[in-house]
Amino acid sequence: VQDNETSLRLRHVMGAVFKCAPDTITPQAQLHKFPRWDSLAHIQLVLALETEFGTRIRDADMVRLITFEKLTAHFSNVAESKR
Amino acid sequence: MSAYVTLQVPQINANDVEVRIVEWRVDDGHKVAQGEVIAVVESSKASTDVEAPSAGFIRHNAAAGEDAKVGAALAFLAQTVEALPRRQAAIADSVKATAKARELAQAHHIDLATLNKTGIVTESDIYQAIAQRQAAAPSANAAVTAARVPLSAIQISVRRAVEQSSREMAPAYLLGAADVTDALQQLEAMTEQDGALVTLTDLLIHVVARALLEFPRLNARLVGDQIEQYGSINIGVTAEVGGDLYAIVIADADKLTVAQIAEKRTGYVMQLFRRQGLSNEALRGGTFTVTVLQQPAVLHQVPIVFPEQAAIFGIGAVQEALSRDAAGQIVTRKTLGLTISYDHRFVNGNYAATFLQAVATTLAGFRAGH
Repeated sequence: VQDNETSLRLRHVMGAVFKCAPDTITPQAQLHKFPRWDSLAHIQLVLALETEFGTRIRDADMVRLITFEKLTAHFSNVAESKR
Repeated sequence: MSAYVTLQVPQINANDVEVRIVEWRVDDGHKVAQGEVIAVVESSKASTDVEAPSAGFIRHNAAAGEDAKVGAALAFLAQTVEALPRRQAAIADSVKATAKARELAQAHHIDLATLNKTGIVTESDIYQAIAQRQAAAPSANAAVTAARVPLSAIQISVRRAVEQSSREMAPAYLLGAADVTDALQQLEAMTEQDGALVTLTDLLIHVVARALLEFPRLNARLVGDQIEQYGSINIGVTAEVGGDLYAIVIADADKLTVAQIAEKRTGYVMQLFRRQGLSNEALRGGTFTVTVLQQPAVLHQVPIVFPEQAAIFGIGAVQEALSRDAAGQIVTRKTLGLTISYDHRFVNGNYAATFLQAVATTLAGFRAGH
């Protein structure tokens, strides 16, 4: 899968939160399955992504956005709506 | 009409008597714009910004780091520097102090008048004076102090609770383990299906709360020679955010599903991370506590029982262990270290052990929808 700007930024943030190299985060990465991606790390990830993309994630979305693919789709929409 | 406006120390939570002035954002005598944050104050539960109600010049009436009584004059605001009043000395004829501060000062032979405190002397002031006296005294320890870091208001609350527990309780401990292989799979499925961030912590709260229905002596406190059983099951769960320890309370946890507990707890934790503070409902009234430490090296923890409670339940990190299945094959299972610390003055070992067994059995057999 070709990275776009959004997925690159996501990898960067996730790498920092999960303390791993960004290129080890696969499109299939998801909560409870990826190393260090537990519930507490997910909250930290959400807060870090809010800062990175300058937007607030609703609680309902927070529990839905638990895979790299879903996060990419969500923040691609956010970036698109800001253009 | 006065040429200046008095800005009062705000009340952050309903029960606050005092708040701490964390920092001044505007220097004394400097100009501020309307709505500009001039100071940050914090209570034992939250912090808040104090904004200038109009443009003008600011006179501080207390120093950063001081505790100030709610409603007292925090600062003055005037249209010109010349119109600002001088800082008001709050020390009256006799030193004002809280009852606990007086008690502590007496125990440590500290003269309140020597503290030169502006405002009400609190326990923090006494502890500070004790620390200063210790620092001034020659020490047998040759190590040089590199820094002195004041405790936050929240950590001071923790210190008080721990000290009270150490003074009043006679704790005993039981260590056990539960097979959570199946439960973890169920939780992952629930997270995806139910739209709630369901974790082992939430499951533990659920299981413990339901088990307490059968073990009322563990949902109680000792008052003199009487056991007072609580009328509801409110589970406190510890959470460390920004270096401070909180005990978030899930009220009536025995009446909630795991997903409902997860939704509530996650919401509270998000509020803490966003520094929004928590309501009294979220921090008061715990009748039993669970605590979770999941760093991989932690097999068990031995927590301290909270004051006014009978016991606390702790878990460590999930570990992998080899086991034999029904067919005799060696399989890898996931296990969880369990600990119950209980007040042995009124909870006996067999009672606590039966409770621990009940929790372990329920965790091992957990099925979603129960």
